[in-house]
Amino acid sequence: MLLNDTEIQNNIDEFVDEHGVEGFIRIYFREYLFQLLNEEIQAATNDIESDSALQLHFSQNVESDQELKEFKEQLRDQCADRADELVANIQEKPELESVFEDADVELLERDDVEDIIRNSMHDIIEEWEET
Amino acid sequence: MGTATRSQSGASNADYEDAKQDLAEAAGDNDAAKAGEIYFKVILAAQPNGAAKVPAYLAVRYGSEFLVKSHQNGVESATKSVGTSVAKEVVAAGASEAVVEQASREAATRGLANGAEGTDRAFSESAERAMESAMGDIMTEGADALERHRNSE
Repeated sequence: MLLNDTEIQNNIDEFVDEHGVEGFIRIYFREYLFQLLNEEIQAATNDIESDSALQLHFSQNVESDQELKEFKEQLRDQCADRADELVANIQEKPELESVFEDADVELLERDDVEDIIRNSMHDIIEEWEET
Repeated sequence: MGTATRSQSGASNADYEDAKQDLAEAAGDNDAAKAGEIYFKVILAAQPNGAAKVPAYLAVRYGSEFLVKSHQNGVESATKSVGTSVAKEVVAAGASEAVVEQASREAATRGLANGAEGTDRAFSESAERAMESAMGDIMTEGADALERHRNSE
């Protein structure tokens, strides 16, 4: 989709005004989890060790581009919910308050902040396994 | 993370293989809720931790920086500040490409993106595609980019 500079600037301004850094991290993790999930589904359905009848079932059940698009949108909904959990866990860290409250993105350059966020990702993924 | 390795923690190999089969069946039934449940409860947790999460962190860092600086100083200035210029007639994905390049460059210096194999590379590629998609949505949809998938709120 071709947009001019003004349209892009307006859309970014609108997004940041309304959702801030938190909004970007939510949408990023939504897309990131979707990429991982979609990749895993592709691998699982194309696995040479999997039942060929299963592959046929998959190919027959996804009857149209529209159905596939709707299925992927539903997968994104699943990922959006998980991304919200992930971001909520990150936001709880007091060390990161200024990132979300004041858009202090330079704080993200610090090694200890990187560790906090990566550990938070790890913790929430482990929680998902246990629930 | 990704599809190449398994069972660094949590689920056993047998669990992992069963989960992959279940995931394929859920996808075959167009059951997104079940597919998500299987993936997030079993498969994702079975992937390695540690360095594989670096590309996602870098994407969050540079993406946040790019958006905030774009808001404060304009897209053109923000694009230069993350290291790459874009053409005047910019496609939505074009500016985000600068962010991807910057994140990828740093990942490479940590030995992750270029030359990394298997899991790390799969993870890195997913992180890059996610950045392009997220930035593309924001640049084309504005605030609606987030709301579209937040039906539960």
